[in-house]
Amino acid sequence: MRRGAGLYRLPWSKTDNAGGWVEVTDQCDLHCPGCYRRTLEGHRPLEEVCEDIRACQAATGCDRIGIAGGEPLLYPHLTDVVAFIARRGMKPMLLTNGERLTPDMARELKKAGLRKFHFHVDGAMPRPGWEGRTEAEMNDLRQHFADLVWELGGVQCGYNITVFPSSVDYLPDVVGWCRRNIAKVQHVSLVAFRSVPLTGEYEYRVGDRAVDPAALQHSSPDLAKIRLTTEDMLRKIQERMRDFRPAVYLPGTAVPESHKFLVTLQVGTRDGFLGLSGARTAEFVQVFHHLFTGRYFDFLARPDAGRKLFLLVPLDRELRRTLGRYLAASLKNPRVLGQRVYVQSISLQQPNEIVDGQVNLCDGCPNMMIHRGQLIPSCRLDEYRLFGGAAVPVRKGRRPEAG
Amino acid sequence: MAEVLQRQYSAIDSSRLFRMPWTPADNSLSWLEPTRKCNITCDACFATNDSRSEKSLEAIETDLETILRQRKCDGILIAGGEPLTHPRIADVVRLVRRRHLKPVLVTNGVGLDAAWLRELKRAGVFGFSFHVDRHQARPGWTGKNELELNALRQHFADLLYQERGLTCAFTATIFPDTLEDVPAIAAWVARNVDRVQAFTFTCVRLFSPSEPFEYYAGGRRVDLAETIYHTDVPYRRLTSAELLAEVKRALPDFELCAFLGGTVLPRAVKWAVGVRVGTTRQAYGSVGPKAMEIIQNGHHFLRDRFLAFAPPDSARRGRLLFFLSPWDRGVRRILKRYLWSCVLQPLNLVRRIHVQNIIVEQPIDVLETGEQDHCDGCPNKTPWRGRLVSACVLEQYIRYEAPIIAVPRTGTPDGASPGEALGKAGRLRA
Repeated sequence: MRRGAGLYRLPWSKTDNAGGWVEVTDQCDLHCPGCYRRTLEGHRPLEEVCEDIRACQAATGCDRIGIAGGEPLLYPHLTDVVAFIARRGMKPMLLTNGERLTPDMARELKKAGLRKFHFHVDGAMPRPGWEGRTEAEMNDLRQHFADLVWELGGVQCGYNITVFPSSVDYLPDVVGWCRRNIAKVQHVSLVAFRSVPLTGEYEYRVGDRAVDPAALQHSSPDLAKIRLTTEDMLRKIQERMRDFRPAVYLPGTAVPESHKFLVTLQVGTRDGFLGLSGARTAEFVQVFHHLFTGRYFDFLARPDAGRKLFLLVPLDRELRRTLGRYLAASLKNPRVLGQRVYVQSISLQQPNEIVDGQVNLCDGCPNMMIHRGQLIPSCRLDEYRLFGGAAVPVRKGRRPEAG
Repeated sequence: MAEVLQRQYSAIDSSRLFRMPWTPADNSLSWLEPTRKCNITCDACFATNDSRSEKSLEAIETDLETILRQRKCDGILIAGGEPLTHPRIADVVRLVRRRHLKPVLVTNGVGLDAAWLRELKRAGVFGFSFHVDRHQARPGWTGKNELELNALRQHFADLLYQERGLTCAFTATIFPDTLEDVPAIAAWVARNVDRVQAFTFTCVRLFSPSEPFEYYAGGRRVDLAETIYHTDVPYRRLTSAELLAEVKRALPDFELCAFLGGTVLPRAVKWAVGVRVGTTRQAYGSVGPKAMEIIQNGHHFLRDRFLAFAPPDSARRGRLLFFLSPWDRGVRRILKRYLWSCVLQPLNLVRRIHVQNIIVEQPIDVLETGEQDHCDGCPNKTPWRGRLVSACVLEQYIRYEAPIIAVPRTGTPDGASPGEALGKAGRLRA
């Protein structure tokens, strides 16, 4: 795919971003392949967490803060953190494996101001009772969480799915499930597995000091597993779904032609998928949101954009097609006219990787966090915690090249 | 706190400014070098004057393709070296114009006369950015101070004004010994609001041997004396805040509206612009951040690229800005002052209202950790072996095939290794 071919580069930058990130604990009750967090500190003091949230808001001007870890449901002051973020006028989003989530706990978090659950659910997780399932079979567990959040009402629902070469074939099944649940599920991130390669080609340095990447949770000698790109995933989905076309993207910092985030915006009603929304709509909505609120957004306050979305059809060819299908569906079944119209985003992601000796990060990363007063990409936190800084890959026998 | 470092490196509060939406893949400008040969010598130039560096038209076209493969942009800065030394510079301009981009020549202007200007205009040049300051060995102007150099600036501004339809911009590198001249330059800029569309003040940057770093590049230790980042001119690190303060001494109502932050210190003001509105007789004020937001994002929405330079014709139609007054407090203030001035002087109703950008820049800072704080969303990216690098560090890639990195000197008092020093700096901020 040519760079930016009809795609909108999300307007997010370091200082003017839709998203921020905070980690409340590094303890977890599951040990998933691809996790990039080691257990070093345990639960963090509430005051420190709040201070980081405040600094993150000041640095990035973000609209939502992702509460992550570790498993945040293990953290004793979770509702306080949610309430603190909400009080500061941002949308709290919880990244969790959902193992410990009960309807009572969900209600309590909603009361504190939680706006979105983001469940990490994939077949590679060592989840008791769900071992050895395919990605398609994991849709049952996703359905369970989606129904739970739907019952709760007023809180949005998203998923994180780590994708391996072995599970990429199931992506159309996952997207198909998403389309059937377009009213209940607002967002799905399909994240290609990445790890720090231990191949002997590179050594890693921080400043003048060599560091041992094996100390990182997510280092691996297996190179074959980390080559999956967003384009590969897109092709796989498009093999079965020709009408799956991304609208917006974020490029890589080192390789601007790479698509680190590749997001498709799907439109539908409770009865299911209707069509897509295109790049022009995304640009219009981001830019107007910023004009009136001073911020870009990751997700809107309400997932049901409603029929007013179709007011933008003069701008957006993709949306015109969707309107056509909506009208056709309404002719067949007038009940559709009374249904809410939802938007769902499917985000293909290709995290932090090394390309030609350079670290290729997501440019405009919405998951930057404060660590010791400094704004860093959350995926590199353990490099800062273990090595005191971001590790720079250096081909063996050379000095470090870039900071 | 991060704020401690932030204050140390940038004293301007960026929280009220609009962060320009420019990014590496979607920007307003890019930088193209047809040659690195130059006909004069300037202090603190970041390119080695190399007479063999002239590129063929084919190589320049390849460079242009490399840029456009990796990013959208509105304007191309044709720079160098001195681009006017390239024998086929008019063809380079045509090359850029053919791709519907705005070719802007970044030049010292030596030898540029009306005839040559007309030829370049026919080739499609959009405008010029003249580098004029005291630290240039310019024939006939050596030993002149910045005030006297305003006469040279006036010469170029008038030349373009008479030719009509060309954007006229200037840059001046400000050294510690010329900081006090900034108000005189700014006053000249304001007087020429009808013919100067943009003026950039850039803080000089050098690597100073007195700083506590060792420098490495591409596998070896770098001796600063062998680089171009070393001169005998008295040096200290100036900041954009200092430049702004000096500009405001001459133009008290000048306000910034938008900025680019640092790659390491996100809220540092590395690059900032203020947009002045006025007639040749009277300034009405500066626009606010919302106006810039609407202009940039609106331009992108309609034209699929961020705006680099407005054509001079639109810069002379300042009244168009009044449509933005519902959203922008700065524009409302300008409108109010304008209407009031019309009551006092009804002739103002028919006078042209001009728009003028003043930009302050604070290039790379080497932080105490050795990290280098670049402009985040740098508009001056240029090709190097198929990649895009910032023009201000291209020299390092050409010479060492890698950027120079600064490593805090080992043997810190407590014997900490640089890595630990980094961690400590992190704690310092926290």
